[in-house]
Amino acid sequence: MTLSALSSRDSTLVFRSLLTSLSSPGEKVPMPTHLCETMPPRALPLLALTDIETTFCAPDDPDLEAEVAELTGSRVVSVADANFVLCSTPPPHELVLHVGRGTPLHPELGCRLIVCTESHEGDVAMRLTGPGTRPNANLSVSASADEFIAARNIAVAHPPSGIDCWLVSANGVVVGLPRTTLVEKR
Amino acid sequence: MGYVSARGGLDAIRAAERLVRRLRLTSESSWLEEDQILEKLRLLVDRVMGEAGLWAPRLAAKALRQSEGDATEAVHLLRAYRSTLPRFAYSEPADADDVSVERRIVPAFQRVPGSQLLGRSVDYTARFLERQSDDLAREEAEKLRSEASGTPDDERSEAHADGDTPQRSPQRLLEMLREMDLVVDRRRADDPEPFDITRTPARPPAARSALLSSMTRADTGALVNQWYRNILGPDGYLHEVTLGEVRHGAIDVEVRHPVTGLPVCVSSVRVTEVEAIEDLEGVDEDRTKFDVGYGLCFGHNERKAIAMANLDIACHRDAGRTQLEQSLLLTTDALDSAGFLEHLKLPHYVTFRSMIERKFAMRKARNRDAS
Amino acid sequence: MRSRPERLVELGERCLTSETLRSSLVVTQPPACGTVMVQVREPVRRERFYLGEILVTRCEVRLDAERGWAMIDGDEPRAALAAALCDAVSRTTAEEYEPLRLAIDELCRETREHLAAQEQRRWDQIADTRVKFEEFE
Repeated sequence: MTLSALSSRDSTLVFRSLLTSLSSPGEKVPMPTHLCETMPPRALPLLALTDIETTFCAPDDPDLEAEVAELTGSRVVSVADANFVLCSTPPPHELVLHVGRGTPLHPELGCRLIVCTESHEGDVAMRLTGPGTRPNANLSVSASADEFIAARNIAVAHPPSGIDCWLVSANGVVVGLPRTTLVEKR
Repeated sequence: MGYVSARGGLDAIRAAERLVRRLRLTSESSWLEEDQILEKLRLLVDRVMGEAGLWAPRLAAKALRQSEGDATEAVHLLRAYRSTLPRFAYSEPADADDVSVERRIVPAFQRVPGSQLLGRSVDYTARFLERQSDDLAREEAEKLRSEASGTPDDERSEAHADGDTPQRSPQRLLEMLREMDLVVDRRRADDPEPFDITRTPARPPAARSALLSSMTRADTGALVNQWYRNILGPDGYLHEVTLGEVRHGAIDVEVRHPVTGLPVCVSSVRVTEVEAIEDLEGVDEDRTKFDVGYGLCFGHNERKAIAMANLDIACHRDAGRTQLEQSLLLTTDALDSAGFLEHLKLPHYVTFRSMIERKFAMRKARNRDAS
Repeated sequence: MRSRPERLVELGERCLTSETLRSSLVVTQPPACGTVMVQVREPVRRERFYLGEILVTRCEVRLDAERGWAMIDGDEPRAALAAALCDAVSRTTAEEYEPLRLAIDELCRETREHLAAQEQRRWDQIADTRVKFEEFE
C-alpha cells in the first residue's frame, strides 16, 4: 500500500466530507473520488485529520498505521488513549468499549472511531433520530456491524461523554454517527 | 427521554447568508484589494492576527474583508481556518533579545544603551482629523513618492552615518538594571516545556507560560480593561507603573531541517515587546529593588503589550490572593467571550419554554397553598 | 527558504528542464499548508512560552538518494515545491547538476542582498526619528 500526504486542498475536501457526514447522520457522503481512486479510502480521515498534536492507532492494520505516522507525524498510542482509532472491519464489542469517551468536563476527548465496512447495504435496518437527522433516516448494516452498533450505543449512553463514528465503505462513501444520534433497530 | 427535533428556518437562514454575500460583493464602491487592507489598515490586520494566534497577513486581510471590518468575526474566521490546518513543527526557541527593532523607546531612562528610536509613531502628534480633500491628499502622496525615489541611496545612508548608528538589537533596560543590582533576579535554572493553550484550556493556578500565551492571544480591549481595573478599579491598588522597554521589530522564526539537523529561518514576524518596571513596596518584598513584567505580542500593538507586561508582574505579585489570574485566563479571549455572547442570539425556545412552565408551576403551587 | 516566491518558482522550473532530474524526482510530500508554533524565550525568567502559530507551506521530495525539504512562509505551494527541489539539488554531487547548484547559490546570494537592502531601506526611513537629547548646563 502506498499512501501519500494530502495537499491542503485535498485535506480540506476530506474534512468537508467528514464534517457533512457528522452534520447529517445517516446520510451517505462520498469522499473525494480522485483520492479514493488512488488510496484506500479508510486512510483518508487519518491523513486529513491527524498531525503532530494528535494520537491514533490502527490495531489491525500495522502497515497503514506506520505509513500514516510517517506522513502526518501523528503518534501511535494504545486504543484507550488514541484520539482516532481505525478498524478495518467492524470491531468487536470489547474494543468499542475500550476506546476513550472523554469526561463530562472534557467530552471533546472522546475518540473518533473510523470503521470500515464492505458497503452501506446490509440486512439489518436501523432507525436514526437525533440532531441533524432527516425524518425517517435509515441505516442498513451487515450482521457483523450490528454487534458494533450495539457496543457503540453503550459507549454513547452517558452524554456528553461518548464516541463519534464514521463508517467508511470500500468505495469511499462515509456515514457519520455522532454521539448524539440515537440508533435503534427497526 | 426521546429527542424532540424541530425543523424550520433553513430557507430563511440560506437567504440571509445569500443576502450578506450579495450585498458585500455587489456594493457600489470598487473592489477592496488585499494589498490595500494589508498596507492601509495594517494595525487592524496585526490586531486580528494577534487575537487569532495565527501570523498569516494575507489570510487576515481576507478575513477582514469577508467580515466587513468586524475584527472579532475576522478572528473567528482565522481561528476556524487554523483548526483545519495540521501543525508541522515547533520553532526553535527565539530569543527575545534578538528582536531587530524598528521602534524602541525607554520611557524610564533617558540615556540607555542604543538609542531612543521613535519610529512610526503618533504618540507625540496632536489628534487633528485630516479633512483635506482626496485630490489634495493624492497630490501630496505623489510628491512624497517622487521625493523618496529622487534621493540617491548613498546620500541617504550618509545622512545618519555620524558614527552613532542606532543598534538593531540594543541591550535592554532590564540588563542595565541587573548590572546596577536593582532588580529581583527571577531567572530560572531549569527549562520547563511551555504550556500550550491551543490544546488544553489553562486554569488557575497555571504556569506563567500559560498566562503569557493567554495574554498574547487575548482581546486587546479586554486586556486593556483588565489592566485599568487592576490599576484604578474596584480590586486595584494604585501602584507605580514605569515602562522600561517599548519595542516594535522583527524576529526570525527558525525550524530544524529534518535532513541536515540545522535551524533554518522560515519566516520573520513582527512583534511588539514591553518591559514594565514595578516598584516593590510590599512587606514581604525586597524594597531595595524593582521587579519587571513582560509583554510580547504579534504585530504592532503597543496597547496590548503594555497591558500584558503590567498584568504579568501584577499577577506575579498578586500570587493568587485575588481573582486576577482567573480573570486573565478565563475572560480575555476574544472568541470565548464573543462566542458565548453571540450564542444568546440562537433560538432558546425550549429552555425558555421550560422556564415559563416553571413560573406557571410555581404560581399554581402558591395559589394552592394560599387556598 | 526566504527567497521571493516568484524567483524560487523560476529556478524550480529551470531545474525541471533537466530530463535526468525529472526522471529521478519523487514528490514524497506534496506542498501543504500548516502551522509552526513559535516558541520565544523571554528575558525576565528566561523561560519559554508559545507566542502563537505562523502559516507555512511544507514540501518534501526525493531526488535519487537525496531528500529535499522546504518550509516557507505563507500559502505558497509552487514556491515550496521549488524550494524542496533546490534543497535536494544543492546536496547532490553529480557533475550534470553543477550549473543548477551554481544557480541555487546565486539565488541565495541574491536573497541575502535583497533582505539586506530591504532592511537598509527600513533603517533609512526611521533613522531621523532617533532622539538626540540636548542637555542644559
